[in-house]
Amino acid sequence: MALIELEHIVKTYDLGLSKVPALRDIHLQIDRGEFVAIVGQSGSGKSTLMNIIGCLDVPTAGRYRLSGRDVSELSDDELADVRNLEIGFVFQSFQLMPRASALENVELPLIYRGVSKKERRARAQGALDLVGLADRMTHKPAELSGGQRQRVAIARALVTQPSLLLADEPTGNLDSKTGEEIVGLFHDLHGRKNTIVLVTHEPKLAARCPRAVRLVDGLVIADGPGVKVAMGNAEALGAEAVAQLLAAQAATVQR
Amino acid sequence: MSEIAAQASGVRLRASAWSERARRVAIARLDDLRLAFASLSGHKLRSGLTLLGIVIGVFTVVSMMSLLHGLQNSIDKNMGGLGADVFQIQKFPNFNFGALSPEILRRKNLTVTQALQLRDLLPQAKQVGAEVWEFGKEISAGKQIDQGGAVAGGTAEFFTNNNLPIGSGRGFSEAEAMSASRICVLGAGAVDVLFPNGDAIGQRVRLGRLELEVVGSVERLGGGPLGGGNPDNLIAIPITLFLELYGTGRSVNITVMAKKHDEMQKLQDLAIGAFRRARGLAATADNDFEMFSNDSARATFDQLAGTVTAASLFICALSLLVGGIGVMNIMLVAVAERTREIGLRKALGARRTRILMQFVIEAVLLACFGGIIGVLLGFAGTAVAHFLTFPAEVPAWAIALGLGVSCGIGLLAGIYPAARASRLDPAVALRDE
Repeated sequence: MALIELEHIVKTYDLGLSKVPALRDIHLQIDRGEFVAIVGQSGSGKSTLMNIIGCLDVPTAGRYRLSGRDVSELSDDELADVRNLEIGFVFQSFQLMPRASALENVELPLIYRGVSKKERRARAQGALDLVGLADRMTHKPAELSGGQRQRVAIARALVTQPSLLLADEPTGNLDSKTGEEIVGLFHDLHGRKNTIVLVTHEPKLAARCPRAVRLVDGLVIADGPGVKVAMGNAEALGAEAVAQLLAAQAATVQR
Repeated sequence: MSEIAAQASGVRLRASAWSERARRVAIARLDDLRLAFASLSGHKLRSGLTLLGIVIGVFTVVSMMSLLHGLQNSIDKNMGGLGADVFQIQKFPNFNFGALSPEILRRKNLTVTQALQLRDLLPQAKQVGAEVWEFGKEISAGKQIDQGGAVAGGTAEFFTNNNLPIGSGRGFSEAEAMSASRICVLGAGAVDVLFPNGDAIGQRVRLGRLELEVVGSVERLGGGPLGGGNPDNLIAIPITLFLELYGTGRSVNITVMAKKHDEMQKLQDLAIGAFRRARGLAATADNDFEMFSNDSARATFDQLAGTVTAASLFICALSLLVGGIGVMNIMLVAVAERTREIGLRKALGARRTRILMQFVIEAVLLACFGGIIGVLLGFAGTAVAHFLTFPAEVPAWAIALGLGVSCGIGLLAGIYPAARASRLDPAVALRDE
């Protein structure tokens, strides 16, 4: 069953003097239980796409259905509720509250769901246990290693039991060994029927995902098994495919 | 299910939805408060400095109001029972800030003779009397003892000039007052204690070394303990007898009653001239006595109190304005510093109002702390004033005003920065460096 349905998604940033297209015409469907990498160079539009999939932003045109509900034209507060209920974020820079303990950090999304303090505590403990940090609950972020911090962030994303785990360069700030561990954790979570979308610029990371989507200049130019999409002569493939797609688009517009 | 049952369950459902909502709001505000505490205590020095303006403002208004309130109370007490148409001439001023000047301390006593002279020089007055007081004396009748009574030595005018109506028996005659007759008039309280089961008139009481005949008693006045002692616990004796008993080296107060209330001011002006003659003052010399009436005391005080109140409210408003700007500034800094945190909170599902409330509550809490510190300092200032024997008392409304206004300032100063925070775009805020 489709969790994410993107149809003709366009996002244009209005910079006053000029309009910059970030996403041109994105079609994408992701089913429940999938583990998908979105790869692309910086400027390819992958961050914009992540923001839209994560309901942090709305498209300029097109339709986005999440769990069957059209979320492309929701208000700020409605989007906040959708994020709270449906999406767990994992960021490159962890985004933990420095003064709060691991436990308090993990509790945070439950605060906005109106869960009582006692229940929050119990659920946060469960989530930290799941990522292997049961013995670090009272530590502040500064007292944890990079890998442990990212585990706290993953626990925070999981604590609400979201439909979608959305990770933005989750290994970007980690050394390769720690990065491996985190990727391993994601594979673990995928094994537990979580839907994961991982945004990255590293083909190596994408290659390990069952499915990868390559973005160039705001267009999807490849979509298939991670190994193929990531390991093909990426850049050459990219340039050729973009030219083809743009021509096809121009033809549609003329017609 | 019958229709009624369905309706009933609908009502229950709505009620429980409502209480669920209330529960969520309560949890939310409690979390906001916790958060505000944490973030303020993370910046103790900064928060403290921000508060200074509000602290000074609230301290000013609380301590000034407590001084004025205390003064007002002490005036009300000291005015005692002086009749409405009566003014008093006395040696020293009733109210004074700080120590009396040497010129005032060198003044000669007012005497009974001067009072009698004034009576002749001021025919416009209805009557002129003289009186002198002692407090905390013991009066006895047989085995009955009355402690702590006030002893007044007076002329025949004493009772009318002090608004002390004779209840039974009589007062003094002029002749008795001037010839140290061994008679007395008792207040109702003294009668209660000394003669619990019978009429006092014609009985004998002992005051110091003298035995006196009771010729009359004053009507019961009542009045609580706040009125400055029990006005009923009184023994009045002829002024000449008083001076014989307690010594002549003391200044008497001269009380003058006007024929009509309208004439009070005119009569006081005349009395000054007449009394200067009675005192034998040179034309260039300053008055070496004080005039005092309920009206004049109150008017002088009210004028002073009005000025001081206006001045302190102005200082208070100014410091609160500065304090409010400080709070707004620090909240803007906090929003800028915590842009990423705000982005994160929004990403995790915080609605606009949650972010708004978080920062508004933080600002109100900050300002409220300032108010509380200001009130506490106001109490400390009042304690110091007490230590310096200045009558001061913090009025409840000043506390309420101080706290209320500072919370209001926090609210006003917090809204704009909080609104800015709540409108941040989460995607942009998360990228903030």
